[in-house]
Parts: sequence; structure tokens; C-alpha cells
Amino acid sequence: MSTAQWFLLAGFTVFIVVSAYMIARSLLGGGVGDLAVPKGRPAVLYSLTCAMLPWKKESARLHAAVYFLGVGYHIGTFLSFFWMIALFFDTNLPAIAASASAGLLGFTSVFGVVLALRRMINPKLRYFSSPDDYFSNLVVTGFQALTLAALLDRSLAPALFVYGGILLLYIPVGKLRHALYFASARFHLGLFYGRRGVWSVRGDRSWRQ
Amino acid sequence: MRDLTAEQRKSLKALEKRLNGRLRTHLSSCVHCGLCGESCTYYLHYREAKFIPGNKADQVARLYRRYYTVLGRLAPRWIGARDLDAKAIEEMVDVIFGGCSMCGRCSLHCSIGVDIPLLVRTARAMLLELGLVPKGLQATVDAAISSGNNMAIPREELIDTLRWLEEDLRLEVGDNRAAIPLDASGKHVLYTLNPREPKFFPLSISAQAKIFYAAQESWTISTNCYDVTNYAYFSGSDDEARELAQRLYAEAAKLRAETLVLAECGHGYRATRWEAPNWIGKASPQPVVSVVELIAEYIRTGRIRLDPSRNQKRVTLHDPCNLVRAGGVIEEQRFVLKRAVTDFVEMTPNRADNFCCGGGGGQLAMSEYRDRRIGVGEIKAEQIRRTGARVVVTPCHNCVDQLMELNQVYKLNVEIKTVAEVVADALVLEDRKIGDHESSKR
Repeated sequence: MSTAQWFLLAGFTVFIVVSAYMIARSLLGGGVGDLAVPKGRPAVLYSLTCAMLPWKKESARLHAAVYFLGVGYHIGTFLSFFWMIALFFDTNLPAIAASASAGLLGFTSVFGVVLALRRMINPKLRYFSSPDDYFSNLVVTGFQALTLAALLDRSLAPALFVYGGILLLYIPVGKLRHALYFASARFHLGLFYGRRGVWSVRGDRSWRQ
Repeated sequence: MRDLTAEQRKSLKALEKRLNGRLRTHLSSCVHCGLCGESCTYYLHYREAKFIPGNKADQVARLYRRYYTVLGRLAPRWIGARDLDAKAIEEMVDVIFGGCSMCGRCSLHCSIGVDIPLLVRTARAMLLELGLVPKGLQATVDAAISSGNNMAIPREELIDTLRWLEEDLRLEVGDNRAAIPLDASGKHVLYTLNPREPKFFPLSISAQAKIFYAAQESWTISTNCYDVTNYAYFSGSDDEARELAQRLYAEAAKLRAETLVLAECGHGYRATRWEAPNWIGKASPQPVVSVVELIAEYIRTGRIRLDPSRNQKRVTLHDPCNLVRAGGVIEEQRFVLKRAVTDFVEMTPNRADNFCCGGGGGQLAMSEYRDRRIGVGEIKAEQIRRTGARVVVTPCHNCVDQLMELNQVYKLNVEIKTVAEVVADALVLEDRKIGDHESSKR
């Protein structure tokens, strides 16, 4: 393995250990139990699936453009991680897949820039944004752009590994840690609304007559 | 932390004490996308960035980052972490007490799912330690703790009112055996009251008594402990909230009541039904239900009969946030109204998506934010106006207060009623006699 690969591996190891600790603390650190007699069943699955559908949430419904930019941007991030791993293991994936991904990453990188500009231009967002909000946006956009470049020119793969290693180290400490907490936030919300019968998908519907 | 005063340290201790996995998760999840703004009545009305729910969540999240995360200690400005200084505290009071009704609509629509009311209540608990709970709100809690009810109504005054209402009930139903039983043991239902009922709106007690009469219910009211409200839920004081809820549980046990039935009160239901077991550390020994659920059950089981033609005006329903979105009593009031009136129309949006009337979160007890509260209520006023309804029903006395004020300010020309009042108007009593249901008493 090259030095860059060792660096990425080290970053990944630290990321896994710290993330596991944070997620465990989130899920096992208390606040999950509820002594009130439930009215419905925990709706964790619903919280992580149907409750997230764009027409269920005003944050998506009323902001369709930003929502789709955000979704595209996140797809780009996951795609970049996929390709970083593929390049790390020197996997022989079809050239068409690499070309298509590069094209897609071109778009999602632009989405990232648009989202960063939105934060810079919109005074209401600026009001409660910190340097970390801008940095996190740009560092992930940079990651996508570098993945794109590495797909077009494999000699850039070591740079991608170093960049990826740094990114993995940064995720748990900055705003990007929402990646670790997202599922547990939905988990806690699903428990809350499910037990109370608000999201009780299989609950008592006899009153709906 | 060394620069902090003793009060500021206590404030942070209040945060630390609550720092479980759930709170830690929600403190760490907001991405500052700002998309929650349009789900908040404060932001929708005033369009000020400080009212974006994400900013409200950040009031406490910034302090958490500052004192409880690595980067917050090393480079606080980088991650927007903030010292608990005078400026931060001033902003917190304004936004956390004066800019949020803790309705929870933002959480439901948050792109992540951050439980913002949980964070707001945590911030309120921190401000409580700094002695910064608005005076009116704290006075309401103090009155409940010291006198047993939030309006400090003397017991004799309550008894007089209830006796008068009992006589009135007998005249109305034409039955001398009709009663409002006080402090009776071994009844099926221990019914609670919102103190504003005996004080200002006794007819809502009459309406409920009439329903109990029609259903031949075995019930009682405690004259010692009857207050369904729990403003300590809004002040952020777990200790006082626990004390108030525990008193109701203890009274139900003392009177050997089988069911604790909560009057029409959104936050009272949430506090007593859902939060109290966790404050106290054990589930209520007897079932705790909203009277709306009970009335719906009476109708479903045929214990009361209704004639909707007695309520012919167009009726709409306002969903109290704490009863519906945070309480899960969603369809029961609709089931009832569809059988009690001839023309029922929904507001849009409704159910868990409904907009807060603006009176939640203890806003009605904080006179310094009165103008803001009325401004926020414009959204509700417009919702009501669009239905064309002449009667607005809501199963919450807090909401009734706010809606009555909105009715005047925005000239809605509607009547505001509780569910019990509408049901009482539609009750069919002709074939009811005391004793009919003796055998069916549980």
C-alpha cells in the first residue's frame, strides 16, 4: 500500500472508532425509554422511510429546488465515497460506470457550490451560520470534485485518499457529524411520535369513521 | 468555565443533568439549512431570522458545543459555539420564551428530525436556573404549587361555584338527583378542571357535568387537587412539573378513582399523560385519559346519544398542539364533532400538521410578549376565516383564551367552544333516568 492509502486507512480507523462511540452514546446513552403507557407502536421504520417523503415534509414540499439540490448533493457524496473505496482496492469497474459517475459528480459538485452560495447570499441563513457551515459545505464539494478528477485521471487517486482521510477525521467534530446522528435523530423521533400514536401506522384507526 | 458565575454554572449543570443520548443526538443534528422557517408561525408572521426554529435550537446547541465538545473548547468561533455570557442569555430569553410556543410543528417538518421543543425546554430549564423565567409564567407555577391551582382559587369559592352549577344542572335536566359529586371515593372517574373554568367559564363545567349525567357516569371532582394545568412544563422546571403531576396521581389514588380524566387542556394532557411518568419515575397507577377520548367512547358505546340538528352552524376544529401533535389524540374529537354537528369543516392544514394558535408554550402567561402572540395568531385567524365557520371548537382552554382574543382582534365573528359544550348542546336526554346504567358501571 502507498503512503496515501495508509493515511486513508488510518483516518478511516479513527473515524470508525469515534463514530461507533458517538452512535452508541446516542442510542444507548439514555432517553430511549418511556414510562408512559404507549398509545401506538414505535414508528422507527416509518420515521426513516415514509415520513421522509418530500410530500410529507414542508422542508421539502415548500422548498423543492433546495430539496432536490440537497438530495443530489448527498448522492454525490455517497458516490464519491464509493469510488474512493473502489480506487483504494483498485477494483476494475466498467469504464462506462466511471464516466457516468464522473458526469453525475460534475452536477452534484455544482449543486454543492449553489448550496454554499445560497448560504452566503441569504441573510437569514447567514444569521445563524458559522464558519464550519461554509467549510463543511466546501470541503465535501471539494471531495466530490476531486473524486471526479480522480475518475478522469487515476494519477490523482493518492490525493483523493489523503483528502478522504482528512475528511473522515473531520466528520465527527464539525457540522458533518449530522451524518452520524441523522439516523439516530430519526430513530428518537420515530419512538416519540410512534408511542404517542401520532405516527402509529398500525395503531387504532377505529375513530376514523 | 472558570469565568462563569455560580448561577451560570448551575445553568450549565441543568443542561448536563439532562444530557442523555436523545438530547445529545438532537443537539448535534441540525445542519442549519433553515428550511424549518416556513413551518414556524413566528417566522411566517415576522420573517425575522431569529425566529427560524434552527436558530432556536442553536440557542442551546451552541452552549453544548462550547462546553461539551472538543472543537468547541479549542476553536469555539469556528463551529459557532458561544459562551454563556450576558448577550447570549439576553438572546435566549427573547427567542426561547418570547419567540416559541413549543408547538413542535418544526420538528415534524425538519429535514433531519431535530426535536426542537425538547431543545427549547432544555434552554428554558437553563434560564430557570438563572432566575430568568418571565414573571407571569413563574407566578402561575408558584400559585399552582402554593395554593393547589394556578389561579389560587380558595377551596370554598370552588365549592360554592360547583354547588351553584349543580343546582343549575338539576334545573336544566329536570332531575333532582343530577349531581356534581365532590371528593367522593371509589368512583370510576376523577375529573380534573382547568382553574379558569370555575373562575371565568363555569358553563364548560356544566356542559361536562351534563354529559356525565347523560352517560350515567360514576364520577367526582376533588376540591383539594383538581388543576389539570402544569405550567412548570413551560417554565422548564422538572421538579415543579413532577410535583404538580404527582399531586394529581396521588389524589386519584387517595380517592380510589379508577381513571384520571383530564379536562380539555392540551399541555395538561401532555404533561400528565405523557411526561409525568418520566418525571416521577413510574407509570400512573390508573389510566390517564383526555375527556375527549372518554366522550368519544360514550358515543361509540351508546352511553350518550346526540342530535346533531341542535348544532346547525358551520363548525371547524382547532387542534391543540400538545393534545394532537405531541399527544396523539387526533381522531377522537373529529369522531365526536361529526356526530354532534350538522356542518363540520376542517381547517387546512389540520391534525398533526395544524398551526399553533399562538397561545401555547406559556405565552398566555407572559404579558410582555402579548403583541407578538397576537401577531403570530394571525395565521390561525386566517385559517379560521377560510373555513367560513361560525363556531370554532377546540379541546383546550388555553387555546380557547387565545382564540377569543384573536376573534376580537381579527374580527372573526365566531363563537369559541370546547368539545364538551358542543356535545352538551346536542345531548338527547329524554329517555335517560338515573339508574339506567347502574349495571354497566365499570
